Amino acid sequence: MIIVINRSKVSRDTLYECVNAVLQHSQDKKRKFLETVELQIGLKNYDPQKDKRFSGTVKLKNIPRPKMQVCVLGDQQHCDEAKANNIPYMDAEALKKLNKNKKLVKKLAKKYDAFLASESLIKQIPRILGPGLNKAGKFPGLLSHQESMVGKIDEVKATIKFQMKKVLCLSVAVGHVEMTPDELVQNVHLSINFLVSLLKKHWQNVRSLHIKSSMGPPQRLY
Amino acid sequence: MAKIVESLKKLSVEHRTHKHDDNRVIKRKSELISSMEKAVSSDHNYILAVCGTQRQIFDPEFRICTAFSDYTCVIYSVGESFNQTATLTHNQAPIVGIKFSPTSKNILYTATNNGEITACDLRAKGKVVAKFKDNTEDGKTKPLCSFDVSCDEKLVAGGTEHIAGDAFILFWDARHSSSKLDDRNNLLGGYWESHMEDVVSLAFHSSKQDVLASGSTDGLINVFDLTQPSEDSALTSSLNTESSVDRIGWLSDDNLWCTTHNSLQLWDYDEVTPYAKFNRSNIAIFQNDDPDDCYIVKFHASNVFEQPFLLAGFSSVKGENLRCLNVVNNRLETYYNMIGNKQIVRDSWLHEKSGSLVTVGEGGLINIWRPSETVPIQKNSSHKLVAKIGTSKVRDHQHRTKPY
Repeated sequence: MIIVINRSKVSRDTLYECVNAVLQHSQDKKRKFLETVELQIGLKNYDPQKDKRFSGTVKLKNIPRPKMQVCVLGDQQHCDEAKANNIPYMDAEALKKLNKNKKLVKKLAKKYDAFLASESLIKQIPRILGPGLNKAGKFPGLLSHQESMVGKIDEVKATIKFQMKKVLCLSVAVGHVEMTPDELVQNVHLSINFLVSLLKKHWQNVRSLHIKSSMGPPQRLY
Repeated sequence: MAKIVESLKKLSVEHRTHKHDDNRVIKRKSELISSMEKAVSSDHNYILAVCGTQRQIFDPEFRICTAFSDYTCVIYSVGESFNQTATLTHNQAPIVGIKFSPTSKNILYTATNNGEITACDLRAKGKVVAKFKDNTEDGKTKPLCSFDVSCDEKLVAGGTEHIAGDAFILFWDARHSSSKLDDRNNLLGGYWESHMEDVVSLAFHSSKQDVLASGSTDGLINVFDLTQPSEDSALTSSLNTESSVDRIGWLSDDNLWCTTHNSLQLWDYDEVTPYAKFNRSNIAIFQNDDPDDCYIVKFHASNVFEQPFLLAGFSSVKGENLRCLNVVNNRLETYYNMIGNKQIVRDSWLHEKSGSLVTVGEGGLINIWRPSETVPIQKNSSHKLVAKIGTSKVRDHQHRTKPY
């Protein structure tokens, strides 16, 4: 017998209410950039000194950062595919031209938000580029020939990371103000559930949950 | 007991569907029972780490060291009985790692968050015999989160938190400082280009003294060849776990295990993807398990329980369960149920010779688990385990009766 217990403490109504308030605010006062919507979490009954710090990544349903630039470091086939799809790409030759030059690698790392690499290339990255991409936190993910390039890039864009450091609060970008309420609610809901699953005592460790857009006031979910 | 029966059913059902397993006898289901439990501290003082001494050929006893959240370390000797032998109180900051010297059971290394690694001599009541510290430049120490000692005990490496834009892996010459305990700089150097977040785990290769693997919350595992002159050329391999690393270790010559906060990954460091990956829903193999309640303690790369195993816990209002899981044909299977655990376990250590598994955790308890004697059906291996425990006693006995 399987009993599914919905442990969520945030009702659907509250979610929609807050999401709509956030969206309304950004509508009322348009900004010159695309505002991000972030989820802010306050924790309790947690001692960062001795309780295990946690972190984890989760893939959201809807892409929170559509403007993210992903560059493909590809073999011939992937480069052709990238070209056809108008996706930025580089091949091994182009990477070798950087000649492990730290400045050039750094520049490359800065230019894009993330990288994906073909199987044959990913192993060579440390040898061709040195640790430059590692340092920038942008070591490529694997792009295999079995999966669609566009799909994989969307996956990278949709993945967010929770990480608890020394303080009892964390925040993470879960969407933007041009999403529909439904999309935003989906993302917020998924993020909350994932976060709570990482916590030692689940909801008992949650002090507060807020969502807010970059420039708007925070809305309390919990 | 009901759970075991249920799982037996489940497993045997699965067996019918897997042709591979057909000639195997019924899956062994046995328990690890807590042969010793010691409450050593109050509830608020967690035991964060445990390590022990492995190689003592003629000695049935072994030593374990436990690190507490109040910065102290306590050393016990474990055999027929359980005795506290020493307490180390010299640490002034949270302990991030402990390890016995690979060459001596009397030397214990401890690393703390304030950037110090010390070696203590247990024969001299835990006197500090060596101190490794980053004392370059402005005297700012870099907070450590991990450390390890190379198998030949020549190098000590420490992984730091991400501070001011860099996360370091620092190296010290272990021999240099053992002669003189002063403020001279025995730091050999460091790497700081390969990770962008806290270096939370370091593991020297178990036989190649110049190979070091590092794991970080940035999600990368890096493998270095320390014979190379620069970090650029030393970095031989970067593995992207696409998660964030919690702990890593060597499984064999070329294979690494890695636990993230919600998965186990097994890597061949020449490959581009893990050859096995299990997340919490794979670990929660019983129907009643809620993957959210599951936490990963540690992977043990020892063959004492037939195969390397994962120690995983389930923490809920119903209780604190603990299990050893084997990797069989790309699935996880319960190898041992551990009956009677009472705490959230933070670390574990296996004494290979006796097959004793030591667990410590947030309840301030130390448990020593041994296979139960009533092991059902299955062939050889289980008996071997029991026999193994037996041998040390038998040998002892012979000694006593035939002193010549």
